[in-house]
Amino acid sequence: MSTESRLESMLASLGDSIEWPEPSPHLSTRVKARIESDQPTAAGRRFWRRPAIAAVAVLLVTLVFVFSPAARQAAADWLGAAGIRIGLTTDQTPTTGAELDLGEVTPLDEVGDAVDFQLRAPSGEFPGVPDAVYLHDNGQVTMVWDGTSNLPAAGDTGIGLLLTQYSAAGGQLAQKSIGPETGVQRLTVEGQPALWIEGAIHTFTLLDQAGNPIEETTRLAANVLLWEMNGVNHRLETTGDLQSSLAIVETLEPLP
Amino acid sequence: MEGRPLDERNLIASAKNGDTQAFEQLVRTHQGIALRVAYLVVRDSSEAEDVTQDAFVKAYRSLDRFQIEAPFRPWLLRIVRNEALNQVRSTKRRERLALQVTRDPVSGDAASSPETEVLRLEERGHLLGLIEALPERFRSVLYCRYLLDLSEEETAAILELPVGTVKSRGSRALQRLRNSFAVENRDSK
Repeated sequence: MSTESRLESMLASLGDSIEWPEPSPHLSTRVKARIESDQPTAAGRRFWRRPAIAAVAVLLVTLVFVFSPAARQAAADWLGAAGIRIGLTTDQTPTTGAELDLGEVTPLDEVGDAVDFQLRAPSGEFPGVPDAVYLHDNGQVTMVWDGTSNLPAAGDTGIGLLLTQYSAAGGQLAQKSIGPETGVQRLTVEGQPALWIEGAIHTFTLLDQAGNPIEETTRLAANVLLWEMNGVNHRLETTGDLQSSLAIVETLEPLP
Repeated sequence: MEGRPLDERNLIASAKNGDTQAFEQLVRTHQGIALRVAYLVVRDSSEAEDVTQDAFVKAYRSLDRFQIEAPFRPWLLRIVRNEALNQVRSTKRRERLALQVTRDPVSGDAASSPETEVLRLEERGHLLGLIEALPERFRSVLYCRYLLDLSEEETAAILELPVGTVKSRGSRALQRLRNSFAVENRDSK
């Protein structure tokens, strides 16, 4: 038998060779009991037992929104993303790429050691390895991909994609200011409530827990996907559409 | 397209209307492969069982958004996989227990000697090691296609990739395996 046909023969029956676990006899009845009593999932219970997450959640609930309270309250209800709050503004001044102020360029294989959260990076062929990685002294890590024919650069920044990650429990809040031309869509990303914001220019403001601005960065961004996962806020800014953004999220893997 | 018996469609329709017994029947039907999907990610039997249980509960709560005409199994397994990935991320675990090959599915062949069967097991274990060493984007496709015996369409739905991407990644992954095998055969001669 040739190497190739032997390989394919082995692959075809490989699943039958694995030592798989067997479902317990009670799995289905336990699921039934849980859905009848509408218990939270085990993961949910584990999540809310984490003091830092619970503390940030309490902080989120106590935040006072200055503009359009009803709209923001609704957003806060379903966003549930620790450390992210949303405001409205009419100030939509675009800036150039030179003013992105993302921090110091840091090698990808070193940046994970500089932050206290598990950093992740896309592992798929698209968008591939970041063209640059920045570490800001406020603890934010931003991976940058240059604009390409498939992913046009935003404005004159030369950048097609930014992925920023920072601790949701680190005392920082990212206020997302949304102009009137912006569409906001509620969705689920990695099983968590998320926001997809498209259609206009956004203003970002970092605030400390007391609500004081500690850093302000304005950037040109076509679309933004915001979600929180495992105590880490994620902000994916791209000229691409929602589908391509979700495809990138799917490939995120922890950096070693 | 997944072939689905009419009674499964009825069970889904009943479950969507709150029939927990119907959903329990769906759990029994799919719990085996769901547990395997979870195990491939978390690599711990009891943890995989917890993840599977949580995923079924989430699936039940999401049934109102499930289109009755759509294939149920890949929709369910996608939820299981995402739940398992979340579990791994939440524990920040970086190491993975290796999958174990424990039996030869063609054993009992009259022409097989015990030595031949041991050799087959070693070969399969080695092949599994080669797959485990592949980058995740290739590995996940091979897991779905060969270890879970899922179609390309189901694999695409579970991994949330276009079918064309599943085909191309599968093809490239197989090429890598062939190259590894060819090199080893040449070296062993």
